[in-house]
Amino acid sequence: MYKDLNEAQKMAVEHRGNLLIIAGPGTGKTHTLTHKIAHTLLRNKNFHCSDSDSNILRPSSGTSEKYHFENETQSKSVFLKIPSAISHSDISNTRIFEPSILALTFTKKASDEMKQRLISLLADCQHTNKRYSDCRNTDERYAHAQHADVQIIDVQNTDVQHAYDRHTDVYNLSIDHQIFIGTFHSWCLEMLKKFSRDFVLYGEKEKMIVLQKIASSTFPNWTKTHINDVARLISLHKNQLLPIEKIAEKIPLPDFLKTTEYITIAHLYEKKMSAFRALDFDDLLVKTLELFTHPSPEIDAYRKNMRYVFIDEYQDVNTVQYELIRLLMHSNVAKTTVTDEVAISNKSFSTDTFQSTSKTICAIGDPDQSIYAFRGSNIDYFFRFSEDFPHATTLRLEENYRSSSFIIKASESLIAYNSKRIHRSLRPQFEDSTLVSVISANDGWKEAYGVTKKIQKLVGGLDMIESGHAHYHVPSETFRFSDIAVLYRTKAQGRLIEASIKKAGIPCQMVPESAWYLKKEIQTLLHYLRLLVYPHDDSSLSKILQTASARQKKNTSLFLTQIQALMDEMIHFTPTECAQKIWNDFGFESYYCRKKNGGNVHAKIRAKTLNNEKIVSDEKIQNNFLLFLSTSAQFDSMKGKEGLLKLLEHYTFLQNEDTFDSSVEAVHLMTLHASKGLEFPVVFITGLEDGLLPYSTKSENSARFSKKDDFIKNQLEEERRLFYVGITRAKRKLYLLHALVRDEKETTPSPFLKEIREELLERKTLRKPLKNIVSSQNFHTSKWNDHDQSCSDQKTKKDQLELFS
Amino acid sequence: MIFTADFHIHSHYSRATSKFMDANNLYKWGQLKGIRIIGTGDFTHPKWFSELREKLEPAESGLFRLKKAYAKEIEHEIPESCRSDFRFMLTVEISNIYSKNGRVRKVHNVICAPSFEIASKINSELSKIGNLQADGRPILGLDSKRLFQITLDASTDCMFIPAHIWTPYFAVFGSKSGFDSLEECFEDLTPFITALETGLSSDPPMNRTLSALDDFTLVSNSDAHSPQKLGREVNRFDTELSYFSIRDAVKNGDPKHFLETVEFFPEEGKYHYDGHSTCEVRFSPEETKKHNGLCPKCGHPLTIGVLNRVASLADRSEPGKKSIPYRYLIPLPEILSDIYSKGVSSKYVNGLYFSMLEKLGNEFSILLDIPLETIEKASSSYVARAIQKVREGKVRIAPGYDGEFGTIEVFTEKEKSDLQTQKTLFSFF
Ligand SMILES: [Zn+2]
Ligand SMILES: [Zn+2]
Repeated sequence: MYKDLNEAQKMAVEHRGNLLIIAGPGTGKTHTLTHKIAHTLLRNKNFHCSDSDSNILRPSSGTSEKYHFENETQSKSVFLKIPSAISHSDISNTRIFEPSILALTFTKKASDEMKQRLISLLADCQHTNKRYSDCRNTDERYAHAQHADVQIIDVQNTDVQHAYDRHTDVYNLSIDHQIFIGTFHSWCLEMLKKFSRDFVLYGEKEKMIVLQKIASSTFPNWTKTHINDVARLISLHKNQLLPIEKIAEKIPLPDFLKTTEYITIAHLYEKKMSAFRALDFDDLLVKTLELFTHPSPEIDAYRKNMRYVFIDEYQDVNTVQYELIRLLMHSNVAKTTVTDEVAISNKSFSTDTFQSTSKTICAIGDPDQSIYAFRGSNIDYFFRFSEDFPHATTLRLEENYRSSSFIIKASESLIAYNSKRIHRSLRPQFEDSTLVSVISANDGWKEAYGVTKKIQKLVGGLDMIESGHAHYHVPSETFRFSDIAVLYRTKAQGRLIEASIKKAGIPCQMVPESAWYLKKEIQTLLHYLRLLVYPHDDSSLSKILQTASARQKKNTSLFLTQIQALMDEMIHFTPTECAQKIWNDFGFESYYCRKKNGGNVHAKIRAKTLNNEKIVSDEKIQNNFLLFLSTSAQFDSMKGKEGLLKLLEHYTFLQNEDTFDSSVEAVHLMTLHASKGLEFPVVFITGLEDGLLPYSTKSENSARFSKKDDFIKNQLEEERRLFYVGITRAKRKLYLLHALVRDEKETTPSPFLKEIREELLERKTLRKPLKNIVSSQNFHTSKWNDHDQSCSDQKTKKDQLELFS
Repeated sequence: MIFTADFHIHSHYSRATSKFMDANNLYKWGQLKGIRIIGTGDFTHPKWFSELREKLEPAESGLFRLKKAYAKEIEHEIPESCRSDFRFMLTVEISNIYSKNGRVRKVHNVICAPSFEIASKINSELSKIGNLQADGRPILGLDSKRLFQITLDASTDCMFIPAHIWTPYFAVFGSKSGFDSLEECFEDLTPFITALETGLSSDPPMNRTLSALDDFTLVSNSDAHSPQKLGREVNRFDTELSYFSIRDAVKNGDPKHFLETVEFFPEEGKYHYDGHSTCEVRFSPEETKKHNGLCPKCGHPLTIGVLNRVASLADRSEPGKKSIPYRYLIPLPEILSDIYSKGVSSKYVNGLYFSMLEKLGNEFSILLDIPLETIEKASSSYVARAIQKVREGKVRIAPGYDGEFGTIEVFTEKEKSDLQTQKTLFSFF
């Protein structure tokens, strides 16, 4: 088991007592943390047997069960149980055994990965004799623990190692400890379900509905964007544990919102929510914290039982999470200073009959990757870890197993400009002299086109013309689509890149992405069709009326007559004919595609960068409708209601499916924020321009660099960390792009680019004039060529292809 | 009924295709060429799908005809002598680019469907996975086997044909990013493959040196991106005119119903030999071996051609016995271009070509069936001699390599000058 750990990682795993691990990018953070959890689990088996009389297992349907998910929809939590440790009569007992180990993460993805890895790690220890003996040599306790009673039940009774390699989740892992692994939110949900009164959980959607309702009566002029801003602020003040009245002191409000207005709406929101007995996601944390500030005997018992707390991504904790951890740990050493507004009952400490030393916390993270200040994360908690938790040790993981040396050096030289950090330096394990490319493009479109061409090249060409060309086929290694990620600061940038990549036919996955059939125009069309089948479906009618044109709204009765007429006729029509009729007769064209565009889309895009999105989206809507027809024609053997019913059933089913199919390979497009925690062999970071990265809104001036203002300095450092996160996603190749003109305005390159040591960079410009680029984009329509084409055209193509070599 | 069919072509919605690859022109050129059934190609493209639904109507089961109204628009461009009852079949080619067993794989696969409903089912599945709107031949990050599964799920009546299986870059056996066996690619679905497409650079005898392919029928299609290239390679059947009879003939590979495939001379294909085009190095597999696979001029690795690749996977030196008959042809415009030393798309060649079609009938009948005397009467003895030589396979070809087409020579320079002195050369006009 120790075989896979380096010295620093091993030290971290074996350390006893409170521990802060500073784990830079690619240093094996999750690897180390899961090993430490496994180590803790195994080492402390006997310790726990002593008070097991009061601890009875949660009922289980038997050993063939997989993980026991507490709640299907909230499957973030998992309890690992030990059927072997109890008799069958115990199973009927419903008393709950509380976890003594808690491992908290920030995302479901992270906690799922941790569970997965933990299970496979324990399976390894148990089953591969070779590794098993390694363990024994390294640590006698392991052997003992293993012989004792950790067992993994092989459900399918197949060859363990083999099956394990494929699917670890066929095993029911049983350990005679209980551990809770999950996100902060899932843990809090568990806590509230156990220890609090009934409540309804409101998701983001429901939260927005409540706010919309309130706004419609108090601030009728607000748009959805305004309400989004308010929703964000409410979340922010809750996570920072600020009373509503104090918000303006801490958080700058958007221009449209006066402090008093915010206070009004926030109070109304709270009133509504408590009237519904509803909690939003942020409330989960706040209410759980209240459980700990006024502890009941059950909470005290829960806290007493807790032995080990592991926190992933500690640099991302916000105030409420920090307080939760502190109270759970019972740390009576630390005094709250950051949030003196919060009245935390100190009485709870005095009733403590438990020595705080019997609890251990291990936090892991990297302050250089803290990028969620806008959500309320506070990096300061990381820096004060050793003050908060007694006798805490700090360890650093510095060996980077991810990126090639030049990428690491580039990231190091950049992040050195930040002042708020704990010093550490990364040591790359892969020596490679591939330089980091800095590419400047004329404008945003050309930048996107440059990325597209480069991707085509990285995968070794997409058609005969590219691949078959001796000049073109330079790359000595080819990558998969899914090896490549394009990162950007704002979602709007992503759309232009997506348009370009999709135009080239390259499979890509924008995160998050909504499937084409979830697009508004298709959904509305489906509402119409539903109304034809179910004339009394008021919800469909109201959805339709929302999108109806002003003319239609004015004359609702005419509109309804029109629908009625179609209902009468529809027996003669196939489903796609119905759809076509609705599309034509009910003004979809004019509603969704305000500007009809004939002619050359690319030329238009070039001509008016500002109008890019409109033109691109108009075409998309048309195309989506055609796609709807081409995928719905399968029901055309039935006319009238029968066919429509089948069609509607099909789409209802589709909408409930998980759209993301991870086995399909595609280029990843995402914001820098979304890239955190991921890694890719090839990374493009686009839009490296002052104002985009570092990002600044219009109201902020560009003289940020000379500013002494702390707030602005913090923001700048946060943006630098964001760039740092982006760079350190790359394993092999890194391309940094910027456009000289964006949205018809000249730009200056990001000041961050100057902070990377010049000798690590290779600077390029996309050198051909724009004219050629556009014509080459269109060459498949203007010129043609055969699969096995004649050679006459190859020369021009060669030029085009080499543009971006 | 004896007829020819070309399943694999591309519409004008695919990249690098002629804008004339639309329903009307397929109708026209199919008749000029003498192809009875042409695949539509690209049925996953929503715009093409809607154009097809608009313009086609069901004919014999599983086949489609151009509606009268549209046929009228183009009828006058088709010489009386060539007119025939033309049919469409719904087909598409998918470019699967994905990784399997640790390597990037690029495999093209052709799917044929008997109805718009079934095509639509496939579209529906694929639209969830990838982008069907950008390219008539969509690029999907999807495993070939899963594509096959999706096809079978839509309907077991579909035909699934791995395309141009030996092309170095985009084929199941491609040297650059293919597999060494069908099983590695399609696993347990392998036996359900309808047929394998030989592609322009390989011919049936080459394929038959692999005993692993003994159980599969070989088909030949043009993969045309412009109307002129339709039917470069085709399949000749003698069955009832219906999708299902054709499918059965292909599946069973019975020479009674699947008469023959008409082939390009494989040497003419772009990847027959090995080589490096930049340095104009053209090697036979033996020469490549001698040079350790490297270009002697620049040291760049040579692009391994189909001949070499086939040899490396073959397990016998002589082709196995079981096979559908085949023959080699050179498209008529290319023959004319060669013997008169004028460009294939020159006015001169074009004029000759159309005048021959008008007098004699469609291109395939000229190349395959019409007696040489008749051809001579309608053109010249020079042309008739050339067609004779092509029918007999007596042409000289410099093999294609590394993306460069092979070059054909119907007559040697000496033959040309001999014929010229006989003054038969320009007696045509
Ligand atoms: Zn192909
Ligand atoms: Zn060379």
